[in-house]
Amino acid sequence: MVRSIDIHDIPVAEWGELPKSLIGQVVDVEILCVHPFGVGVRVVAADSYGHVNAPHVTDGLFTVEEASKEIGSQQKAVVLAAPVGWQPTLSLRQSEIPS
Amino acid sequence: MVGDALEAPHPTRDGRVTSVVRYDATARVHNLTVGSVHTYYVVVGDVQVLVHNCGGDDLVDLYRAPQRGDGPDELANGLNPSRPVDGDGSAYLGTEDVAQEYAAHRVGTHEDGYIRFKVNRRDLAAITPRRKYQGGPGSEWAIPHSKIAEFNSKTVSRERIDMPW
Repeated sequence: MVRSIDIHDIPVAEWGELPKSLIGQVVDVEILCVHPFGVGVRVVAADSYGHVNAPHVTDGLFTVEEASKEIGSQQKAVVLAAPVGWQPTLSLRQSEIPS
Repeated sequence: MVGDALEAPHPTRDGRVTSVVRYDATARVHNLTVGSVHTYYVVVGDVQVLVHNCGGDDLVDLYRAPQRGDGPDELANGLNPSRPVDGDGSAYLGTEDVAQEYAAHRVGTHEDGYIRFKVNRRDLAAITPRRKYQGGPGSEWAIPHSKIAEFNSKTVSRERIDMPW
């Protein structure tokens, strides 16, 4: 695991609220931490945290080593889900981000 | 146990366990499951006794692509609570389409294959509910860290499925 801050150490209740109105929308995110199971991000506009599952990190090959080079950078992501009480999930894959 | 009564089709033919022999050996063994019926008679000596498939018929298939390197251990021993599994400490399993996402070759952190776990539906419901997968179509089950041992004990079978690359 590589990180600047590991959001997965923080209870989901403290991640902040990602409005359901953002589901399907493209948002700016900051890459915060990288794990084998996925990536933790901060959704800039909502000032809340979100999770990117491993299959949704990149259209290329996802490895912790490569993805960790992006920690601290801002990228575009699409919000996939914002379930109450669970981690909001996003995708960083270019092929899944509406143009 | 010795003395246990066995169900027989003819009440006059009493089936009863008379002895138990322990046999230790290293050998390939197979579980027997009859596909079309759950209960059936087998002949023991000259008595028919009622037996049933292990685990009940109402089984749920759950799938999980292990993190790279964990596959052989998960296949042999089930989920391992002693190593970090996923972000919130839970172990996630899903429907087959979800596992295939993780087993895709471009996901370098997970193995290029997945494991099918079979669990009795009632046992699974007591451990965790089924819910929609948050990354797309399909369903998932989050096994809380505190219930991983219970999940392992209730697992009827595990089978490795390799992706075709």
